[in-house]
Amino acid sequence: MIRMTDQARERVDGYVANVRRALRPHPEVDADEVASDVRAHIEEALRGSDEPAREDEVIAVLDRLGSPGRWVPEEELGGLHGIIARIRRGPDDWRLAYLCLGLTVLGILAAPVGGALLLLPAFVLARGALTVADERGEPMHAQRWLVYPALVLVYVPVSLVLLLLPVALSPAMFATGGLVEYLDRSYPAPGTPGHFVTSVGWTVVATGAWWAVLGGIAAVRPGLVRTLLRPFADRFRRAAAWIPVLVGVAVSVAGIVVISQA
Amino acid sequence: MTDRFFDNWTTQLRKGVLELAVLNALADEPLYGYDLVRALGRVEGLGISEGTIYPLLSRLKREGLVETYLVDSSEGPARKYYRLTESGRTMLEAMNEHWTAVRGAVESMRKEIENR
Repeated sequence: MIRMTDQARERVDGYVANVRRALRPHPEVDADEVASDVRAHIEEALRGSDEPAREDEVIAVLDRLGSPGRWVPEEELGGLHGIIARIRRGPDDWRLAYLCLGLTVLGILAAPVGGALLLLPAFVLARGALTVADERGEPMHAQRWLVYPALVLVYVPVSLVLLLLPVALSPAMFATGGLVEYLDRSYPAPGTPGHFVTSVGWTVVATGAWWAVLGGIAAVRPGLVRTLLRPFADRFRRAAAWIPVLVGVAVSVAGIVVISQA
Repeated sequence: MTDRFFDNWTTQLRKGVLELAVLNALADEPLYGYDLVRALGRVEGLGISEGTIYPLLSRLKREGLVETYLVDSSEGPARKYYRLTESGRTMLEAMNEHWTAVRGAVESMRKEIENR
């Protein structure tokens, strides 16, 4: 097996996974065998170059292989990919993007009467448009202005809720009758200055620790962050995950200082 | 729109002749998969990306037109070779005959129009 850098190996693994996914709906092709052949092909193409193979060398080989999405005729695509491809195919290949923006706008306008639920299918279509573009090896170009709003409208609130989860849970923990009162009888009584400062301090500590955990998960699985936040986190690398870890630790320390002053 | 029509037409044409090109590449001797793919990828005019050939080989194998076998290699893992089966060879002869007939028909039609 050819030795590769982590980034190069991730590229190869992602490409082979896309090949398998693109071919799986086609019973006349053995997707696993093709995926295995493609991996062997990539390794053979890299043989002779200095090891570990670099990401740019892998990219050159993958470019010659072409986009996995093009390996299957569009009319033979099955399942969700087929539906997306057929919707997308049109006079100017922009149907999916238009549909996505239409649902987004309708969702915003009809928000007072529950129209915000339309943002969910708009989000799914937007992710579908990204996948189709990826598999075709085509950049989004101007279509991004039609597709990205649906992504932003889901990513931003979900990310905020995820980041501030300890703050959101804080009232349930520290309010009168909350979990802390039940668990710790010596905790300052609600309504006193000591209770407020200590509760804020513990919320800050929990928030910092939570950020450090999230950063740790991102450091272990950077691919997960890239997948969840496509395409805005495409350049996310493991090194960047240490920033929330460090910030989280600093915030937790600040919280401990606040508690100690109470 | 004209470019789009032309692109669609060439794509359809390429798909049609790809199987023929792969089977012809294997007509003389078995080939190592990597060499076969690289060789077909370099054929000018066909415009084949290397990746499209692997699913096609898999399909031809399932159809019983080609078969594979492994050969030990001193440079790494065993190499997978492709060769035509008997039915693949029969199919290739039929496809070549049909290709020659279609090409001849189109050419003779063009000449006829040019000579008017």
